[in-house]
Parts: sequence; structure tokens; C-alpha cells
Amino acid sequence: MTDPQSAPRVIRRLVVGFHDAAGSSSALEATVRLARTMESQLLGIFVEDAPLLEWSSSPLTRQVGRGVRPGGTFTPDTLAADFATAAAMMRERLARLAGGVGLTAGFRVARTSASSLDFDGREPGDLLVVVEPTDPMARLSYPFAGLLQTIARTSVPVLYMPHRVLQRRGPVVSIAPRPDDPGQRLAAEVAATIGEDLLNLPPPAHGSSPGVGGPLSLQDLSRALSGVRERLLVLSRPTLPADDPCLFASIATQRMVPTLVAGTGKNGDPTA
Amino acid sequence: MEAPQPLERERLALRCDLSGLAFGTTADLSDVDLMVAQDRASAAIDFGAEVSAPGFNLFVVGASPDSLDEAVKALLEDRARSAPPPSDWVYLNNFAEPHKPIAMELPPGRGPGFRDAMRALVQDLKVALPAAFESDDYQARRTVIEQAFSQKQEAAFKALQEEATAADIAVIRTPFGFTLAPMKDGQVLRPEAFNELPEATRNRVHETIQGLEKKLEAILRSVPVWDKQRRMDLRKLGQETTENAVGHLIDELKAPFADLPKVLGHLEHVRTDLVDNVGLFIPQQGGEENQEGDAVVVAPFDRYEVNLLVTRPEGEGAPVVQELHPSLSNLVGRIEHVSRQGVLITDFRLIKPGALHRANGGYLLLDARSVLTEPFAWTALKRGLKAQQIRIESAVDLLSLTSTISLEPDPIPLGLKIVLFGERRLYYLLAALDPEFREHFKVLADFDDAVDRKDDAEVTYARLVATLARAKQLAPLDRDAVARVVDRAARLAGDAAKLTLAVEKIGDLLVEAEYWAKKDGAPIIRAADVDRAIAEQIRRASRIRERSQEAILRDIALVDTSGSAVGQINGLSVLELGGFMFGRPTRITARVSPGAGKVVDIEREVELGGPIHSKGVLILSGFLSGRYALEAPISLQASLVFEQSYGGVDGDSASSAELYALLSALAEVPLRQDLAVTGSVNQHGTVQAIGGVNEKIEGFFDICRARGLTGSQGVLIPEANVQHLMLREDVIEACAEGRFAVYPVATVDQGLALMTGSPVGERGPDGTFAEGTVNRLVEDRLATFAKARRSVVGEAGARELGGRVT
Repeated sequence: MTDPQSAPRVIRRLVVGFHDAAGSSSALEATVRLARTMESQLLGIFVEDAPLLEWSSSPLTRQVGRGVRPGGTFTPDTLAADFATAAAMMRERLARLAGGVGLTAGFRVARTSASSLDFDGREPGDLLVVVEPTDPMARLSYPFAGLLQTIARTSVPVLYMPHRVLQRRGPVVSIAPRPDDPGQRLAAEVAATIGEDLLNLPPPAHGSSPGVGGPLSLQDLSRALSGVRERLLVLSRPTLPADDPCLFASIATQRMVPTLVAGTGKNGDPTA
Repeated sequence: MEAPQPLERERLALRCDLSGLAFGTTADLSDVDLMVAQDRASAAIDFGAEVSAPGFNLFVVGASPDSLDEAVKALLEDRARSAPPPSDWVYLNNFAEPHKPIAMELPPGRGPGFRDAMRALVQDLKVALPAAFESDDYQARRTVIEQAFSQKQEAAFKALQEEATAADIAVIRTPFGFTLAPMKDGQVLRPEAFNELPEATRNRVHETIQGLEKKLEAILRSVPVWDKQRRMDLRKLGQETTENAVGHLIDELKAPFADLPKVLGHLEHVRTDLVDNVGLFIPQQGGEENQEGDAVVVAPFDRYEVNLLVTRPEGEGAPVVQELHPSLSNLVGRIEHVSRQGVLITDFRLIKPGALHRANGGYLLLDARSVLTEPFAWTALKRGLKAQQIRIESAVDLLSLTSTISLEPDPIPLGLKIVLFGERRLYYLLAALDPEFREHFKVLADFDDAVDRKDDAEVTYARLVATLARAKQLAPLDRDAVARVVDRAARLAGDAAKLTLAVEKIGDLLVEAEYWAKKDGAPIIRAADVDRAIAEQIRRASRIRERSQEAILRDIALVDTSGSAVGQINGLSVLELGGFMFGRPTRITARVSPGAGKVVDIEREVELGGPIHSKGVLILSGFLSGRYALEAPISLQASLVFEQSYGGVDGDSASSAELYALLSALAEVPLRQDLAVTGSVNQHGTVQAIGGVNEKIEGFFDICRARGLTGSQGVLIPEANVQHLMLREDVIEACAEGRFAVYPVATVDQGLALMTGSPVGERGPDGTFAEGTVNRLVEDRLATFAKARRSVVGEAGARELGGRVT
């Protein structure tokens, strides 16, 4: 087991982003528990999607409601009110979960593109957390689908929380092309912080046998991880295939483990 | 008529004789049953304990019921030891109606095993269930179900999205739904840009969006159907997994309880409940919202616990329970609540037994006064006895003070003997005022207050003293000390021919005697220590007595102890304060005049006299009429008063003294003031027994001694009270030396002769009393009054008014 005292503290705050009122409770709870384990601060950011607000002044706006929510047209005012309601709900949910483990969560509302990872007030030591919606349709639609692309392109570390998370002990598994990969260093930091072993695996080659480098497929990754009961997965962006940069989300959802995406991809945009 | 003679020393007290018992100290004496000399009560208890029919509960009465419970408890414990132990009772969760916990009867001693087995099962479940639900097999099957659900949505949504993308339309997630917007180059078109499009294009986009919206709505309407299927599949999977995980655990648990069908039935209910509610027992996994939401949740496995209400190990017989605080909840049990998130909640595990539960199948000993003074306790006890079941009630519910949801546990069959302890007065009051009382307490165990002092009673009493000393772990008493205690027992009984059975008082005396013995460094309790203890008991309580005597000695309260006076006499009364009795003399005076035949009781007129006192005074009228008014109605106006009495007066023990004072006033013959008188009198002039004779004699003796005993002083007591005399040793010594005297008086004439020193006189053959006798003087005076009255109201008026007593 890694000694948490020996590793420097790189992650000091988990910043959780919300875009609507459909974030997974399981994922959010796992995030809060992780923050508690890492003894880090917790900040929730509700993003009011600026492009959607802009579009809401169009005469064509009509909303198709989910569940008991009726459909109908919306205006900038009603959309702003809906954003405020959703933000309040998420603030309350985050506060309740955080209070349950003795944490106090900050909360902020930002108006920006919901498919970007930009927000004001970012600080060194922040780890962005993206919570997967429970609703498959929300996962496939704008802005979440765009957000996945952004995560794949950016160079900043992002923790992807699948909508179902298994709460268990186990090693932190890092898959990186090189030992000096930023993802591997971050994995070591996280493992030390949460008191778990670190298991470094080379990226499996496309096909059956492990090798060095090369794009991954979901099947390759699943095979490489069979028999491992990891607590957290760290994927280096260079290992993500160009034709499926959102593989991190698929593997996280399939294995129900938080997946940290780090490093700069081949087509990465360090400023994204 | 001869005046009575003073009593000899031997008749002033009966001293204990232990010559028939060879012992040095009480350490040599064997124990005696505390139920000694209580044959009637013992038989009643045996009877009540053996009759199993409902209602044959016991009410134990005695002068000091506090001292009876130990003896009765010991008797019942002896009987209970050989009785079969009662069943164990447990409360279990009612899975169908949780607010109605189920009471289950188990064979004696089987309750703890059942409780422990269920606890072990819960511990196993806590491990086995999560393990089963974390297993790869479960997770794989679950993932298949989840993926099927997701894939249905994704497939439908992807098709829609592809169609939308092909038409440059974006599907956008809003905070609470979806919307569709035109795109260009992968970005949502700005409204201004859209408005700049040609109208035909805008219309086409609009129509496309409307079409897609309809399709999206159709998909969204399908989602709940798919989700329902998903939940059903997950539920079925959960039930299968649970059955596989816990089935063998429950089957193993059945083996030791194979002989108990009720337990087996409960275990089946547990199995069903586990399978039906497995979601409560496993950690919620991704995507599954907590079914309980914000509700107050107790630990889910608690529902399978066993609340062992009462159990009794085999071999211990039936229970004998004494409840010193018989409040409603202590009797019938209670349902406790715990606070969770500011809400008071409860469940079957918080049902606590009451004394009725603990004593069920045995005996429950209760103090009657305590039960009656606790709100709702008496009625709840009667309800339980009538229904023959224990139903837990709370005072709060009975008063409807709160609307908190509580439990309605199954009532438990009640089969026990209630033994109430109380004073006789309480028993008779309940019998008179509570119509249900006799229905439930049919057996009276009436303990004698005292035992006859005959045959070997003193010897037995000596063993009782030894038993008490040992029970209280006191030093042994020597022979003389025991004799003193026996004498004290007679004095406490107020009768030389009785020994008190108020063992608590005797026990207290022994404790105090040992204290003085230890103070003196003596290893055993001696007669002097007993005397000192008695003296100190009296001293501690005698402040009022001393103040009373002081008032007399300082001539504030006027009581003469020498000389003589007409119409004035020393009566004797007894005051009892805080259990301490003492006698004190009181001056009684009488005034007479012609009148309408009325003897006025001044105490009664000012409402200071009680009914018995008034009755005594009215008897005097009867005596006067019968003895003196043979020819004409009595034309007398007389008044009687207890001088300087400012409190209430009751009892008729002063009626003989009042009669002497009245006759003295009529005859104008002085009465001796060096004598005091006690005794009631009837219409024929017979002097009758009174209570507190010892205290009354000693009360007058103390005053006389303080002023100096003259040798002529003494007290007239009813002859019938001689047998009660257990006087203090100093009084006896004074009498023996002729410095004081106790005169037994049987008739008014005897007393009158002694009090006046004159011949009383008897009616001769000519129907008149002899000249110069007291009776002649009285009759002549009454004749004078009658004549005077006739002169005022005339013959007819005198006849009409005369002889009426008011």
C-alpha cells in the first residue's frame, strides 16, 4: 500500500460540474466520498449553458418535458428560472451528501458553454469532475456529448464519474504509454492520497497480447483489466484511440469505476 | 357503696417471664417463621395462592402492612420454587403490519436461544447479502438488464439523433427536458442568424423540428415502460440472488427450533420479507435512488431481531415480583421511542416489559396505596385482570395528549396472582366504594396486629426477636434485653395480654438498642440498652408533650393536683402525633341551672367536639333521666366544657369524668382534684373501657410527680382496662410505695364515692335516696329546678318542654 505521507499533495479541490437536474446520485455520492478520502475541498459548479440561453430568444423554442414535466415553449426568462431551480436542487443534493460525510461543499453558478470545461476561478490543485447523467438520452445529447469530446481533447486532468459506481477498495490502475507519463504520476498521487496500491499497466495492444503503445478498443481494455477489481482507473490520453476518444467514458460506465483522464492526447488542445 | 381500692403492683404491668427458655443470648435461639401466630392469614395466603380460578387474588391487610411484605414474599417464594416456570415471551416484527408487533410464546428458557439465533442470522445476512450482490455473477446479470434498458433508449434516441443531424438539427438537453435547435457547422444557430435565413428555409426547419419533437415525445413516453420492465427484471434478479444467499442460512436456523411451529412460521416470514425487500439490505448502487428517500430509516436488519420480553431459566420456578413503583408503565410495560432526525420513532424492539409481564405465571406483590395513587394504574390493573391479558397502554395515549404514531402490540395472556398490601381501612373502603374490587380480590389475608400473651407466646416471641436481630445483622441480645423487648411489645400492643406483631417497630427498637450498646462498647445488647433506646425514642418525639406539661406546671393550663372543687374534675385525654402517643390531663367543668332539660356540650356548640364525644354527653342525659327523673321531667340547663381546649375533642373516654362534674355541680359536692378520671359511661352508670389507658395514667403521673407526689394522687380507670396495664416502671414503683394510685372503677357510683369522699346512696324501699348522700342531693336539686321551672312556665309548659334532649 502506498504511503500517503510520502506523496506531495497535487489535488486540493474537487470541482464538480452540473448542467441540469439529472446528475446521477450514485456518481455524486462517490465523488463526495472520494473528496472525503482525499481530504480535499469540494466545489460544485452549475453551468448555465450560454448557447442555449441565447437560442431561447428564438421563436422556435419548444421544450419536450421528461417525466411529469410538461412540454411547451420557453423564453429566456423561463429558461433562466429553470436553470435556477435545477441549480438549487443540485446545490441542496451536494450539500446533503457532503454533510453526510462531514464535508462542507462550496457552490457556484457559471454562465458559459456547457460543453466546455471553462469556468472562472479555477485554481491550481483543482481536479475537474464530470458526473455522468443517469439518463442515456442525456448522455447522448448536447451538451454532454460535446463535453465528452472536450474531455478527450483537453490536457487538464478530468475525473469521469460513471452513473453507477461500485464503492469498493482496490488498487488504482494506471494505463499509460510511458513511466513518465503525467497520467502515471497523477495516478501515483491519487493512490497515495486515498491509501490504495498503485498498479501500472502498459496499454494493451490492439488484439490479444499486451504491447507498447497503440490505440485501444473497449474490448482490449476490458480484457486487460479482467480479474482486476480496481477502485479507480487512470487513463492517459495518448492511449485513447483517435477514432473513439470517448473510450474513457465507455470503460468507466462498463466497469462502474471512476476514471481519471490525464495527459495530452495526440490531437489534444491544451487550452480546451 | 364502697370506694374502689388502689391496684396492687402486680396488676399494673405483666412482666415477661422467660424462665421456660434456656438461653444466654439470642444467638442461642433458633429462627422462627415471621408468619408466627398468623394462622388465619397464612391459611388465606395458602388458599389464595392455590386456587387458580380468576379473581382469587389476595389482599393482605395488617396494622403495619410495610412489615408484612417480606414475610408474605418469603412464603410465596417458597411456594414458587417448586412451581413450573412460566413461558418465555418475545415480541417480533409483524411484516404485514409493522405497527402491530406479534407476541410469541415460547417454552420456558427457549427465548434467549431464539433471540441469539436471530442475532447470528442478522450478522450472517449483513455479510452474505452484500457479498451476493457484489458478486461478479450478480453484477454481470444486472449489467445485462441495465444495458438492455439503456440500449433501448440509446437505439431509439440515436436513430432520432441521426435523423436530426442529417437535417442539421441539434437535440439539446435543457434543465428539465429536451429541445431541438437548428445547427450549422456543429454549433447551435444564433437566433439572429436563423432569422436571416429565407422564410422557406425557416419554415422547413420549423416543420422538421416539429416532426422530430413528436418522435422525441414518443420515445420519452416509451421510457417509463422500458424502465418498468427493467425494474421488474432487477427485482426478480434480486429475489433470486437473495434466495440463493440466505435460503440455506434460514434452513440451518430451523433445525434447533424444529419442535416450535410458531418459530418455523416466523422464519418463513423472514425469508419472504428478505426476498421481497432485498433493496433495503444492500448498498444502493449506481443509478438506483434510495427507495426510502428522506424518510426516517432504521437499520434494515433490525426488523429480524427478537425482542425478548421475559424469560425464566429452567429450574427457577415461578417468579415472585415486588413492584415498589407501580406506575402505569411499570405495571403494563411501555413502548419507548428514540429520536431520529428530530422525529420520535419506535418499533417492536422498544417494547419494554412491565411488572405484569415479569410476574406472569407467578406472583406480583404491590402496595395498594401506591397503585391507587398512580394515575391510571388501578384501572389498568383491573382491566388486565378482567380481560386476563396484558395490553400495553400509555398515559399519554389515554389522555390523547399526542398524535404520535405508536404501536399496538399483541396483548399477552395474563395468568398470575396479584397480592396487594394495604391498611384495613383501605380494604374496606375499596370493598365499599369500588364495585369491581371484590370481583378481582376475593381473598382477604387479615394479619393480626398482636398475638395473645399466653402459654409459650413469650418464648416464641423471644425467638422472633432473635430472628429479627439476625436478619438485621445485629448483635445478639441477652436474656434481660429480650425480656425488655417483650415487655415493650406488650406496651406497643396497648394490652398486657397481647404482644404486638408490628415487627417493623420491634426491628427498629433492636437497631436503636444496638446503637446504644455499641456506644457503650458492649458486644451484646443489654436490658439497659433497650431501656435507653425506648427512652430516646420517646425523648425524640416528646417536645410537644413537654410543652404541654410545661403549660400545666406553670399554671397556664389550669389543672389542679390537690384540693377539691365543685363541678370541676381532671379528665384525661390522649394525643397521638407522628406515631407517638402521650396522655395529658384537662380540666372539665360543669355548670347547672333550671332550664328545659338540656345538657349543653359546649365543645359541640362551637364545633370542636366530634360525634362520639357528643354521643357521650347525650348519654349523660339518659343517665340523669333514668336515675333521677322518675316523677317529673328534668328541668335542668347544664353546660359542660373542656377548659382551655382549643383543638378538636372526640371520643367518649371523658364521659364518666363529665358525669362526675355534672353530679358534683348538681349536688354542690366538691370533687377531689388530686385524682384524674378516664372511662366512658353508659346510661345505666356502668363505666366502660377506653383506649390509651397507660398513656393517660402516665400523663397525670408526670404532672403530679413534677409538683411533688402527695400520696393521695391517682387515676380512676375503668375496671375493664386493668388487663391493658403495662405501665412504666417509675409509675409502678410510685404505686408500690403508696405515692400514687390506680383505681379500677366499675360503676359511676364507685367513682363518685372516691371522687367526693361522701356516701353516694342507693334508692331505698320508699323510693328515695338516704339523706346526706350524693344521689339525694342531686335529686333534691333537680326537684328544686323543676319547681322553679314550673313557677315560670306553668305545669303544662314544664311537662311539654321537660326531658327533651337537644
